[in-house]
Amino acid sequence: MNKLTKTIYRVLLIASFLAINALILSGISAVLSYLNTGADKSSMLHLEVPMDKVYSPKVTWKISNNPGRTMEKQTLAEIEGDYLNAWHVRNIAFKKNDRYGVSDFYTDSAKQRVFEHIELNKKNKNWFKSTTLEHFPELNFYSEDGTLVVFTDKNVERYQETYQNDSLLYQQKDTTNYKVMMLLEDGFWRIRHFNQIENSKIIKPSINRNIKPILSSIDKIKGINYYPQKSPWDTFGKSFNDSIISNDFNIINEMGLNTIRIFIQYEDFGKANVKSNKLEKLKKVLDAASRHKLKVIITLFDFYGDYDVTNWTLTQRHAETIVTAVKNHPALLGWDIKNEPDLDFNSRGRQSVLSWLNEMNTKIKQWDPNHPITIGWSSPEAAINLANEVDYVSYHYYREPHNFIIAHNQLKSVVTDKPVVLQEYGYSSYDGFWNMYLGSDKKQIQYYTTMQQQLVDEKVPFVFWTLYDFEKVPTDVAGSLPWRTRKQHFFGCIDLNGNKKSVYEILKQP
Amino acid sequence: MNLKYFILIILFQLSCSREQVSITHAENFRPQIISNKTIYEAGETISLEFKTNGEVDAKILLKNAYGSSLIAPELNNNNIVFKVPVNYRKKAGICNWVLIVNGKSVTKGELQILPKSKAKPTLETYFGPRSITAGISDYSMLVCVTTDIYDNVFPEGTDVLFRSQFLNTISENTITSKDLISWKNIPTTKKAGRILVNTSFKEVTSSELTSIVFPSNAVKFMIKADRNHNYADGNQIIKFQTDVILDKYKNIVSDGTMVNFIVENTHGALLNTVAPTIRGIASASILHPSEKDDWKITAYVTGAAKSNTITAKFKTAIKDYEVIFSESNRSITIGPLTSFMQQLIPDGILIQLEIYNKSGKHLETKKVSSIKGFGHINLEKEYHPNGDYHLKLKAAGIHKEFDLTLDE
Repeated sequence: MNKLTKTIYRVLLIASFLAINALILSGISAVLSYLNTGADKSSMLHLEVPMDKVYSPKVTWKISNNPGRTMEKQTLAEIEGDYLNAWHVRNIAFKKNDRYGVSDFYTDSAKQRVFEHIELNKKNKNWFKSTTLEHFPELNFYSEDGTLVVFTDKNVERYQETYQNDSLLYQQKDTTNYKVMMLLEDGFWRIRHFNQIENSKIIKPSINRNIKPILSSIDKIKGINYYPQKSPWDTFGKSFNDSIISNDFNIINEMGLNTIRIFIQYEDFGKANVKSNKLEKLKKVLDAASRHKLKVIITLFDFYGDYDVTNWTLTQRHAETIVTAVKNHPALLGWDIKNEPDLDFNSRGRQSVLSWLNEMNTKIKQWDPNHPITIGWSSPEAAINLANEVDYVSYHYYREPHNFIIAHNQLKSVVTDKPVVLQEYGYSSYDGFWNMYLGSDKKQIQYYTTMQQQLVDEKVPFVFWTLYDFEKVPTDVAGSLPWRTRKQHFFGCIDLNGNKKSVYEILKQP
Repeated sequence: MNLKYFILIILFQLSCSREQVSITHAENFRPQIISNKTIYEAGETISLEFKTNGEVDAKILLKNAYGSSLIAPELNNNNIVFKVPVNYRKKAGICNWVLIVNGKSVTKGELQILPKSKAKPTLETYFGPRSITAGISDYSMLVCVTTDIYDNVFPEGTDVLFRSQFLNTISENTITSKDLISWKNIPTTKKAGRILVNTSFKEVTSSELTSIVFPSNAVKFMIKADRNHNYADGNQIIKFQTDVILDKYKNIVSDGTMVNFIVENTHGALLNTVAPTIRGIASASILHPSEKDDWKITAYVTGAAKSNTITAKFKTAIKDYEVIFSESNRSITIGPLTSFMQQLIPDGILIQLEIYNKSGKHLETKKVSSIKGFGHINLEKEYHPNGDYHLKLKAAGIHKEFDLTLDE
């Protein structure tokens, strides 16, 4: 007993000795490593932090009528940058009712006005999301010492959402003229005077659209949603290979189809600054399609889900670059603004999504007046949205094939004057644990037989989903849950080994 | 992509139907504005009153250049009254309003707010560039903005008085404002000096602002040289001086204008000394040469003007010197070096010895400076073994040659 107690004491003593030593050592090392840390060496250099583009409405200057000093290109760019920053910080300030950043771009007396607005809105619990889309500033005066500038910002197109507490109360788009005086202070061009002035008669050049020839061909669409087998949802990625694409187009030719639908991912293409190598790849795909006599529907903004007013200008620059780059390509059939935007109604607010789409629709019409525009709604019911705005209506249908024609005709009864395209439909032949072994090639054949019969009978233009079964499906498409994603792999008419599945013959056009 | 979101569709339909209800409600109801005044002066009380048939959920959305606000009404009998907050009332320009009932705009309008003309105005004056050069083409620019007590710019067509003074001339001009500002170029003068300006509007006058007219570029000028004696002793200093340098309008050039004196010697080498002007005069110094020389001196104000060229001749100060070999020819003593009055030359005359072997191959150059009239050179055994050598000695422009045998 005594011996045991002794041993216990010994063990305890040694253990506590070791523990105390360990503690002391770790304490000393913590102190030493703390003393060794310091500012990052590169922070000694006051390097300018490269800023992402955050706000880029379209700005068109007119500088011919300036009686003062001749405007330098460099200064004009600085003025434009700081003027847009002034708009941006104010938009953000009214969104959060926070003064952050305002002092950088407004002089002392001008910023007081902004602060008074913020305080009032904070008290009334209302806030605003706003953005400006286009500016047409006209330089009135630039002082000899280069520190004062006056200009008239004409036809400023502004979109604003008014929120009361947390709910959207009112949306508004307006066009306003401003007279602005800015001063160069501490290296910033700051707003000194900012006046809203009488709107001159705004004469917007009417756009001559010439889409009739293409629109009349839409009823003849027999198409396919296309991704290369090895790089689904990543057509323009690292594994881009135009000979593979060309081969695929051969197969599509063989099937007797005349149209493909492709997708451009917003981030992949570089957001507001569209990457030129991506545009090159896009042109190669269009060239290949042109060689194979295929028409191409380009779907923009894939994997984009933030319709926030704050980012409108960025998405518009993105679309503008792509649209203007390929708008004269002979293979282009039309623009699909966004794939299944109605799926974002819940998370982003129906009104926000619709406003974004509507505005994008207007802008794309300006940039490319000669190609029709559509939106790929996820169901025939959702396709009623903005049906008056788009040039032709597109929707997707993945439900019971027997009910298809009822749903289609219901939509046709509302949309009477525009072509209606079944832009996505299909059936997965996946047969496995996650769908209780309920799918099969046979069911896929049944599905397409029923669908194709109805499509032929009712003369519905169609674009089915898709050419290949895919080995890999990115998680962005259907999440990471296997019972959701597994069936995504088997919608094709050619299987993973490159063999034609039985549906191939059904989908082959006479 | 391929998924059928039934719930979503149902939700979407629900949201559609809910909205339609509110539309019909709003359409049935159009409040009429009672007040028809649309032009106000900044600071004045503004309230917008609408006729309604009882309580409604109405808000007014105000917008001016600086931002927007949502205002709740007050009830007045059966009418609703919106009091425009002070930050909208004191900002001149256009103020838009939209009456929103149940989330829909039912009527809208525009208020025009004018700057407050009664109270004491303020003047903002900007003047620059503040330093200009004399002549005919340069100018400063005076810009003026007139504002009311709420910092609103007075409308186009406001007259502002511009005054400027130079020597005995005071000029006055009335300038009409356009694009927020009134402005005038203040031209430079042929005489250097200061131009004072100010502006006034109504009873308010700005403070005095100054632009300095600096002299223009220098034109051709003269130089002279001054020295104690004309011996090339390598010790005395020769001084160069310009006359008063002027610009083409007879203004003395600005203090600190750098003048570059370039000396060309008989070998064609260029020596250089620089001095800034003070009251138009620049003076620079340079050491006498240590051998006979002829100098040509020209001064430049870089990029602007050039002087005349003067010459300076230097006579030999050291006529000859002795060379003594000792310690088996390994120690060479040069001197005494004496100057024009047989005085020992000041320390620092360069003595140069070039050593060749008997086949004429150059082995080494040794350089020493004279100390107290003498120079010493040793030829060490380690570097120069016994044998025949040829030596060339040069000091104060005098060359001497020796054939030498080292055997110890």
